[in-house]
Order: sequence, then structure tokens, then C-alpha cells
Amino acid sequence: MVQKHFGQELDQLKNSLTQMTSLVTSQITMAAEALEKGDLELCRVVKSRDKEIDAYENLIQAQCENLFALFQPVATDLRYIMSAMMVNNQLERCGDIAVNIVQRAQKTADHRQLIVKSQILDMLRAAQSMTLDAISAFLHNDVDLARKVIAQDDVVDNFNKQIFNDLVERMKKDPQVVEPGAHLIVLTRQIERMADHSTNIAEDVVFLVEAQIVAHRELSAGSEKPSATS
Amino acid sequence: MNKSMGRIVISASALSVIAIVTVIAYLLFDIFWNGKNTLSWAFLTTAPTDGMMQGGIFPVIIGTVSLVLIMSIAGVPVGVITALYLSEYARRTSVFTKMVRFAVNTLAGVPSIVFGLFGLGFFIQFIGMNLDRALMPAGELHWGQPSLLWASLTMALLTLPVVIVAVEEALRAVPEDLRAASLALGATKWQTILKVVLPNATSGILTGTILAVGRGAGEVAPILFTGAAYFLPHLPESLSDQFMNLGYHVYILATQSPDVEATKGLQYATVLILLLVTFGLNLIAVMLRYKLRKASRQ
Amino acid sequence: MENNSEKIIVNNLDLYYGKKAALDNINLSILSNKVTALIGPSGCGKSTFLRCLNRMNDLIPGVLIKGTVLINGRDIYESSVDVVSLRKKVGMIFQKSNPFPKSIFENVAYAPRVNGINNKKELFEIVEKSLRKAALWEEVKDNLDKSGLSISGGQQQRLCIARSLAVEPDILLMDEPASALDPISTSKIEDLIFELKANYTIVIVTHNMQQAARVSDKTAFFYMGELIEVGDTKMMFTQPTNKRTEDYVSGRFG
Repeated sequence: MVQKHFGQELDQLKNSLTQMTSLVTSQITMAAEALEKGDLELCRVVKSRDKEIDAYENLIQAQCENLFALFQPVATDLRYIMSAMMVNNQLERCGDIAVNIVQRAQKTADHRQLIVKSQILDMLRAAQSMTLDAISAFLHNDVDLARKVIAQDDVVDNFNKQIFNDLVERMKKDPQVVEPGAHLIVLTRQIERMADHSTNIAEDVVFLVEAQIVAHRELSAGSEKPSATS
Repeated sequence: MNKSMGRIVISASALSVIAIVTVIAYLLFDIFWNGKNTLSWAFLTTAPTDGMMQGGIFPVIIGTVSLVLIMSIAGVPVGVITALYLSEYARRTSVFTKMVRFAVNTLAGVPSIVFGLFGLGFFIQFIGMNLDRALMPAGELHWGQPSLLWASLTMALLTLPVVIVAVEEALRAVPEDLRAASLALGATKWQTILKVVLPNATSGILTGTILAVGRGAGEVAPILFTGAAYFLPHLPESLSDQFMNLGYHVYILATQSPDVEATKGLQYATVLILLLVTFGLNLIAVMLRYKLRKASRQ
Repeated sequence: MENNSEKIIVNNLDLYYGKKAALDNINLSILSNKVTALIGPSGCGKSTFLRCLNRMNDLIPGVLIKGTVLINGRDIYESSVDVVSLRKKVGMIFQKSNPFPKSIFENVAYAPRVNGINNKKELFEIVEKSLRKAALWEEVKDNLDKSGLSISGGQQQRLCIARSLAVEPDILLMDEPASALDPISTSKIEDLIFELKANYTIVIVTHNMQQAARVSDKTAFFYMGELIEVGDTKMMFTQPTNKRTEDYVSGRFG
């Protein structure tokens, strides 16, 4: 049975995280819509709301620090607060990426044809669904969903390579495309990173639920422990 | 200390123990063996007859019981109050406390015959005589002579230290925590003593009383001049009556009887009863104290 | 119902055992409906300070106290103050649970009886209410006639809390209330403290820093008879301003 005081503080943390995730979700959704429609007004809204996410990041950081300092959590509670800190970090970066997306969207608003042809919207949708799934997996301790997210990372990576090659080809053919093309290449890097953050969140979910570290699987357990420093 | 020295000490201790046990066993056996034929229900329930050569010791038992009863009624409250003062109120370092404690210890060491003389001088000749002068027709003696009351009061003085020491020990055994708990709940000191300290010291108070009774039942010297009678045809009816007493009765039978040999059975049986009473009382006191210690340790 | 008024204000409090100073110029305000934890190494004066708040130090010969302790705005060391009624307002829970060797019912009914309540029905209501507040009612309601010493250590300590609550105090002083208990019982006591602060101002002495962290809103750190630092518990355990506080809460000494 969780102690009442600890339970209360933990509930507040969960509450903050829920707020944070819904903020990030709506930022990403709006950013995607802004890019798709070239909606400059929506771009401004996304930019202005980033401060809220930053404030939540600080709040969650402080809440986790207090929980560690005051309650010395162990086992599941320990992993939950650890993963909350890590997820908090990833979510804030996803928020930043939403801002980056709308910045590029503002600069490429006159080249909607290029955007549509280059499959960037498909890539964004894939990454966006990864992020939403990762968040959902975290909120519901859903390991299966988390594993699905991790598996999807390759899809986005492939999009990234394809679009890069495609854009380079287009830029070679038409100098007019170079400037928007360069913006879009930066944009794909951002989307690819959003997918990476989503994968990280999914890995944190697996750590939280199964106490397994899935990141960097190539370092199979025990084979390459870092040498102790001291 | 080397090994052989150790052996000598152990052997000497063992010998002493055997010696003591043998003496006690012989004594008890001798008393029982010689007294058992005289001991009977009639012996306990009838008065002495034929110039105390025959009959029982009924008035002797009643006299002794009355003595210790009145002694307890008079002595125990004083003892409990003194112990309460020493344990709960007195500052351990004050001069007055030290004086009271010194007085109690000294009282315990005074020979019992001195108590008898004190009783005669103080209770009978001083208080009793003055009472008679004030209350009685001129020249008539009522309080100014040996009686159950004066003997009991003298005995109460003798046993006072026993009660004080036993009760104080019991009061100190009441955990300090309980006093603190009561005071912290807003009880006054007196309420704390009444509702927490005294109830928890009941068995100690009882122990003190029983030890005092045991001592009082066996003592003769203090009542020699203050109330014990050689022979009385009737039971004591009032506080100013004289009374017969077990210890004194043994002394009379053994020294004052016209034919000491003929009353031997009576003597042994009386001693046996006296021993049974004092042993029994001490046994109860020990058991109560054991219970008390066990309770206070929890 | 947040109420941040100052319930207890201690000004320039010194305490001497004979000539030895045990508390040196303590200034501390304790807020109502908050849990204030007093921490510090053994012999730092935290328990002595706690006992100043209901004048339990008065019982120790040779103690001299200077300074003022205002409770509800009134100095409790003023000569006109009745110690007995002060202690009815300021309850105390001790380190070792100390129920009276009476029934559970009589333990809780003790203080009301002392105050002259003898009506059986009224007493029963007080006993039930107090045991409920102390989260013990459900466990003992069928055994109110059993001895207060027959229940477990943790239950005994909650019985002692119920016994204090029966006097209807505003303030509860707790002197290491869980130090003799197992972790589960400790957890129950801590939960209880957390609940009780809605209605009481609680000051708790603990040598267990984690306990101070878990239950308190404010923490005061005592060292060698001095109040070194006081502040929000969260601050004291994450960013204390004094080096000695930091060393103590991080277990580097004491």
C-alpha cells in the first residue's frame, strides 16, 4: 500500500505528465496540419505555446527531484519516476521539434507542390503516429504498443533516405528548388529525430514495465559493461 | 585465586548451606513431630483450661488477629503516605528528605523491646493517663493501662519501616512513562497519583502490608508492657481490653506453667501455628512481589 | 482549508540544565495545520525543545528557561499560565508507546474522566471519535475491554494518539513516535500524521531524516543546541542553504 503522502505527490506528477503529453500531442498535430495546409496563423499559435511545454518540463523535473529527495522510491516507483524524468525530456524535445517544423513550414509555404510530391507528409504522419503511440504506451503502461513503436523506427528512417535522395535529384534538375529543398531536408532531419524521441519514450516504457533496458541492444547484457571508474 | 583455593571456597559454601538446611529441617521436624498429637480442630477453637494445662488457643489466635488487624489499619495508611511523599513529592537531595529517610532506617534498626518501653511510656503513661484525666472520673483508669489499642499502635510503629520501604519500592516500579503520559494529558499531579500511580502500586502496598503483618504476628517484646495478657477468660471486646497473643502464650507456657513438661504438646502446637501464620504471610508477600516485578518488567 | 497563521512563536529561547546550556537562542515560528519536523543528531536539543512547548521540562529539577513561547499569542511561561490547561491544548506522544495498564476504552476515556466527564454515553462517544481519528477504531471496536497492553506496538502508539486526541488539543507534539516500530506500523503512523494535520498543528521530533522528509511540511535542523536552519521540507532536502544541514541530511555526519 502506497503511503498517502507519497501517493498524493505521485498523483500530482502523473497529472503533470498527462498535461504535458496532451500539450505535446496537440502541438505536433497542429504543426503537421500547419505544414500540410501552409497555415501561417497556426504556425504562430504553435510557436507561442512552446513556453507552456517548457514550464511543464521544469515543473515535472522539480516534482521528480522532490520525490527522490523526500521518499527514496524503490522498485516500480523508482523506475516510474526515473522514466518520468526521461520521458519528460523527450517530450520537451518533441515540443521543440514541433516549433522547428512550423518554422520550416513558414519558409516553404509557397512550395506546397514540392512538399506534396516529396512524401514528406507521409513521413510526418508516420512519425506523428509513432509519437502518439509512444505517449499512449507510456500513459497506459502498454509494452506491446511500445514495441510496435520501436519497430516502426525503420519505416521513418527509410522515408528519410528516400526523401533525401528524391530532393537531391530535384535540386540537381532545377536550381529554383534548391532553397526550399534545403529547408525540406532540414525538416526531414527534424521529423526523423521526432521518431527517435518517440522510440526513446517507447524504450522507457519497456524499462518501466519490464525493468529491461532495451536501448542499445547491441550491448547485450553483461558482455560489455563499462569499466568501473574509480 | 588459584584452582585449589576455588575448591575450598566452594566446599565451604556447600557445607554452610547443608548446615543451615539441616538445622531448619530439624527444627521444623521437631516442632511438627512434638506438636502434631495436640493439634486438632478443638485445639484451634477452644480456650485454655485447667490453669492453661489443657484446652486450646482460640482466644490467643483471636487476640493475635485483632492485634495485627488494628496495627495494619493504623500503620499502613501512614506508611503509604510517607512512601508517597518520599517517592513522588520529596526532592531527593533536600535536607528534609534525607532526615525522613534516616529516621525510617533508624526506626528499622531499633530493638523491639525499646518499642515496648516507648509504647508504655508514650502511649500508656502519657497519652492514656492524660485521656483518663480528661475523660474519666478522678482516679479511675481506663486508657492509662495496657490495652489492645496501645499494643497495636506500638506494633504499627515497629512495622512502619517495613511498609514504607515496600511501598516506596512499588511506587518507584511504576514506569515514569505512565506519569508523563498522564501529566501530558492535562491531569494534575494528584490525579496522576490517584489514578495511575497508586493503582499500579496496589500489589506493592499489599506486599508491604503482609510483610508488616507477618512481622507483627511474630513479635512479642513490643506488646509485653503494652497490652498482652497472661491469661484472659474472655475474648477482647474493645480497644481498651487486654488480649492474649501467640508469641507471648508460648513464652508463658514454657516458663510460667506449673508443670512445663506436661504442657509440652501445647507449646509445640502453638509454635507450629505461629510458624504457619508467619511463613504463610511471608509466602504470599513473596508471590505478590514476584508478580509485581514481572508486571513492571513488561 | 489552508491556514498559514503562526500557531507557535518561539523567541530567544534559552534552556539550561544547571549551568549547561542545552538550547541557545532559538527563534522559530510554527504554522498551524502544518507538520513541522525537528531533526538533528542525538543530543542536539530537538527533544528538549519539543518539551518546552508543553512545559514538560518543568518536571526536571534544575532546568532554567529564558525567552518566550507564544501559543495562540500568549506566552506559556507567564506566571499566570495554568500548566494543566496548557497541556490539554498541547498533547504529547512519546517515543515508547505508553498506554496505561487499563482497558483500551479506559485509556482513551482517561483524560475526559479526569476532566469530570462520567456519563457513560458521552464517554463512549468521545472514545469512538478519538479512536476513529487515530485510525484504530476498526481494529479494536470489538475489543474495547481488552487491555491497552495486549495490542501490537503500532496499535499501542495509535492508542496513545487517540488518548491524546480525546482531550481535543490544537497542537500535537510527537517525540520520535515511530522509532520503536516496524516499517508497516511506522507507515501507518506516518499516514495518520499526514491526515491529522488537517485539524491539528503537529510538531514531530525524529532521528529518521527520511521520516521527516516523508511527513513534514517544514523542517528545522538543530545542532548542538542551536537552530541551524529551518525551511520548507522540500527545500531542506533538495537545496539546504547551510553546509551543516546539507552534510546532515545527506548522511555525512550524525
